Formats: sequence, structure tokens, C-alpha cells
Amino acid sequence: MSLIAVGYIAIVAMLSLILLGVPIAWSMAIVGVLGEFYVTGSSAAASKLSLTLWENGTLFVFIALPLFLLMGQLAYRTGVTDDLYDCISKWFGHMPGGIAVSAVLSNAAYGAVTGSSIASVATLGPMVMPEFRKYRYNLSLATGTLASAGTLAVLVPPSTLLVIYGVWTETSIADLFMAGIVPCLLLTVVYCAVLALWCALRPEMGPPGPSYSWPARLTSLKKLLPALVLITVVLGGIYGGIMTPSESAAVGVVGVLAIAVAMRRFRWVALAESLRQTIATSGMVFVIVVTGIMFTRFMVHTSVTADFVATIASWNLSTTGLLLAMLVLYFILGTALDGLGMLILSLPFVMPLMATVGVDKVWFGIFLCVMMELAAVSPPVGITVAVMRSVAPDVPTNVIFRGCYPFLGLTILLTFSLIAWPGLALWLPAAMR
Amino acid sequence: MTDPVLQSQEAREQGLAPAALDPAALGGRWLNVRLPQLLRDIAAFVLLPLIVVVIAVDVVGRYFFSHPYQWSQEVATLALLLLFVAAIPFTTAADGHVRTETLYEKYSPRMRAVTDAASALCGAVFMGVIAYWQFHELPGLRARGEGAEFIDIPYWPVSLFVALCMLFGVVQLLLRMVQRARHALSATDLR
Repeated sequence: MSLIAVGYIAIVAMLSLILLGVPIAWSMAIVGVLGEFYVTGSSAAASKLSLTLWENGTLFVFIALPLFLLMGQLAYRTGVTDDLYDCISKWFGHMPGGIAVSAVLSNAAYGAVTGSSIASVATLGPMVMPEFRKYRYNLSLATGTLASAGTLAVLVPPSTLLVIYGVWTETSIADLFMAGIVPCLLLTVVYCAVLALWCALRPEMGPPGPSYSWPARLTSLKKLLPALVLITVVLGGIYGGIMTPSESAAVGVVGVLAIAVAMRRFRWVALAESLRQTIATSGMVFVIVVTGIMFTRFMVHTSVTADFVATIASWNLSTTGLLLAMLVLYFILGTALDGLGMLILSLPFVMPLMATVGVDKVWFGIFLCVMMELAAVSPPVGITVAVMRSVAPDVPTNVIFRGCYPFLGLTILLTFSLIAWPGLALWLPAAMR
Repeated sequence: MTDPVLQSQEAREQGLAPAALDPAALGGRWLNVRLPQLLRDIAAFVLLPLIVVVIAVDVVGRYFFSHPYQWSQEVATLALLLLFVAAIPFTTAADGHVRTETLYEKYSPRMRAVTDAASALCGAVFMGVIAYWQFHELPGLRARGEGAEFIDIPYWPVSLFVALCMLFGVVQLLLRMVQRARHALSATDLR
């Protein structure tokens, strides 16, 4: 049997296992291991597998992942992030749809501290839902807003998915972080503008929230200070060329602890729980990344990747056509896979293709993150929708999805804009170099 | 990560999910629960803080005392490897591996138990291969005296720790596979 045939059989086997419900990491692992055994022999395969584990487990840039996770966990458990919503709602809550607008802004700010969309929805959901109910917001709009705005954390630095993409594709994480800022800001502003306009036209959907005096608003700014200091130190350190992302994450962890002690919010229990939770997530991510890289190396060995790229290239699609095809592909993948699974499964094939047509790796990282945002709120398995459902169990899933559709449309518009004007993502990293 | 609804007691009582894995069965609570937790706690309370401290000290040393510590990266990255491999058994014990549930959630309890058993076997093969190779390489690593460049840390203890964690992962997954296979044989499908 030819190597290419072995490769294509392996792809079918792996996808079948994944669809049947075998965890993604184990599906890629078993197919990769057996494939390498068949192609290279048992000793060479075992050696390659071990080498992949060592290489990636000792990658300095990979340190950023557990440390940013820890920073987010600590910020959440010491209340640094709770203050964000409190301050933002005092400034924007009185507008039409003000609570929804505050939720969007808080989610973006929260993402800048934690880098996790699930954490954003899980934390802000219980905090904001009672406000939505108190002011009789339309529940579809309320839950859809929270679930969709949570996905902003995927784009805003220090996004954990951008770290994984950077590690996997050997792309500068600092550039990726920088490139995510403008699209995230754009999306945040558009979300807020549409919500405000929508609720101004139909006040019954989202009436204005409480209004606060100017002294109360100005006083609330003090609460923003810890989060601002943290974001400035972490991102400033990276963009100023002072620290690598891994070093910056370590300093960020020390920074949150210092803030917690200074604000008398430090609790040993919170620290212990943050450390434990970080380890649980790190183990999951590491296995999926290592098995994904192992599977990719096997694919390259069988020449399937080259064959796939040559086949797509023979269709003579323009770059725009190809990217639109990617949009459709990821939209379909997103209906069945979560963001991480989608990323790891598609990169082995898509990255060489993008390199062939000359698409910038940094730009493509942002494009992929936007695709992951779509996946997070796409039926039937939107991950932030699932989290939102656990926050508001009385709101049916289809009602939450209905609330997400306008945001889904806006995110697709952002994708078109990114394709039309790549500078939206690439301008800032270029300007900062 | 498995949908919590699929793992709920109600789902089990209604015959919508296979029985919960019994931590006291086959290998006992120590092997199924306490050892994964111990490894997680080593990673959480020793290795993760070590990485933070080592990197922070290097940054402070470099910028405030013009004294970078060249060994810091080596220590941090070796600790990272140990952290990752120590975390895997706990992730497995907590059913923390990402899966697609489109079909899985529609399965009968028996089919779900079969899928879980097959999943455990796939994971065990992967970890078994790594454990085997680490043990295989261990004598050579020790004989050649391979280790870190800027600090006297030999690689063989790291390799031994990786091998032991992977070996434990194999045992853990095989125990889960046997339990799930038993559930598959005994499940009464109500759907």
C-alpha cells in the first residue's frame, strides 16, 4: 500500500473515532502511533513519539499557557475581575440596553485578564443575569449577549488559544496578541452599538439600568486600577520588548498575588483552588497538543499533507476564494467541534496550504480565532452557550442560540472585513515592531 | 470534557448513562483517586510555583541587578515537562479530555460504556509506548551523563518520572477500560 493511501486511511480512521465519541487526543494518538508503527517500525515510532513529548513539554514558550491560566484563575478568585463589571455598569448601565452593553465591555476587559471565554461567561453570567432579570430584559437578548460577548476573550490578549496556536505554528505570540487587539476592539464597539441601537428602538427588549451620580462613577474608577495595572504590566512587558510572553505571564501571576495581598483579598484556599484548576486544564491541553503534533508529523511523513495542498492548489482558487472556503469549512467544523479540537485537527492541513498561497501566519491566527468565536456560539454544541445554559437553567438552549444569531452575523461581517482589509489585524504588530 | 448532564445521577437512574466508575473497585481508591490527586498536587503546589518563582527571579535579576540566571530557562522547562505529565492522570480521572458529543450523547448506556472502554484502550496504547521508550532510554541517559547545560540536573530522573507517570496512566486507563467493559456487558439499555 502506498504511503499516501495509508495517510488517507489514517485520516478517515481518526475522524471516525472522533465522531464516535473517542476523546480527540486519544483518537489522534492511537491512529498516529499505529500509523508510525506501520510506516517506520516500532522503535523509530516510539522514539519519535517520546521526542515529540519531550520537545513540546520543554518548550519555553509553552510556559505561557499554564501561567496565563493561573493568572486568570487568581484574578477571578481574588475578585479583581468582579470590580470590572461594577465600574463599567456605573458608567454605561443607564443607556438603552445599558446592562447588556456593560456585559459586553466587561467581557472584553475580563478576557484581557483571564484569556478564557468559558471563564468569562461562567463568572460574569451569575453576576449579570440577576440584573437582566431585575430590569426585565428579553431573556434571549440577555443570554445571547452574555454567551456571545464571552467569546471576545478568544481574541483579546492573553488569549490561551492564541498561545496554543503560536506554540503549534511557531508564530510570535507577541505579534499574535497584538494582532488580536484591533479586531477585538472593533467587535466590542460594534456589539455595543448594535445593542444600544436595538434597545433604543425597542425599549422593551432592554430598558435602561440604574443611573449613578458623577461622583459615584468617578469613585468607581478606582476599582479599575488593579486590572489596568495588571494588563499594562503584562502586555506592556511583552510589547515593550522587555519580557517574553512566558516571563510576562510569570510576572502577571506575581502581580495578581501582590494586588490581592494589597487589597486584603488574598486567601490560601483561593490560591490552592487556582493552582489545582490550572493543572487540570494544562493536562488536557498538553495531551491534545502533543498528540496533534504527533499526528501531523505522521501526516507529513505519508505525504498526505503535500498531496492535500497540491489538490487544493490545482483548483486555482484565488486567495479570497480560498479564505471564504475556509470560512465555510470552519463554520461546519464548529457545529461539531469545540475551538481547541477544531484548531488542532485542522492545522496540519490548513497551515501548509496557507503557506503555499502566502497568507500571513499572524493574520491567519486571528482569522482562526474569529472562527473559534463563531464555533463557540454555533448550534448544536456552542461551548459558551452550554456554559450560559448552566448559568440560566430556566432559559432553553434554542432561546439562547436565538439571542446569539445577531452577534453571529456581526462576527461573520468582521470575518469579511478581515479578508477585505488584512491590515485590521496586521497593522498594529507592524507598527509596534 | 463530558457534558455534566450525561454524568448526572438522574441520567444514571433513568438508564440514560452507564453506571459511574467505582473508585474503590479494581485497584482501589488509592490508585483511582488519591494517586492522581497526589500527582496533581505535586504539579500544583511544587512545580507550578517553582516555574513562577524561577522565571520571576530571572526577570528581576536581569533588570534590577543586571544579573540574569542562565539556568532559569532550563529549570523552568524541565519543571514544565514534569508538570504536564503529572497532570495527565488527574485529567483522565476527572474525565477532562475533550470529546465530540454529537453521537455520544445519543448513545445507549451500553454503547457509551463501549466507547469509554475503547477510548481508555487508545489512551493506554499511547501512554504505554511513551513509558516503554522512556524506560528503554533510561540506562543510556544515565550512562552518558546527559543533563542540563547551565545547571547540574541530569535528565535520567526526569525521564524516570515521565516513565512512571505514563506507566501509571496505562494502569489507570486499563482499570477504567475493564470497568467500562463490565458495564457494557451488564447494562440494560432503556433507550
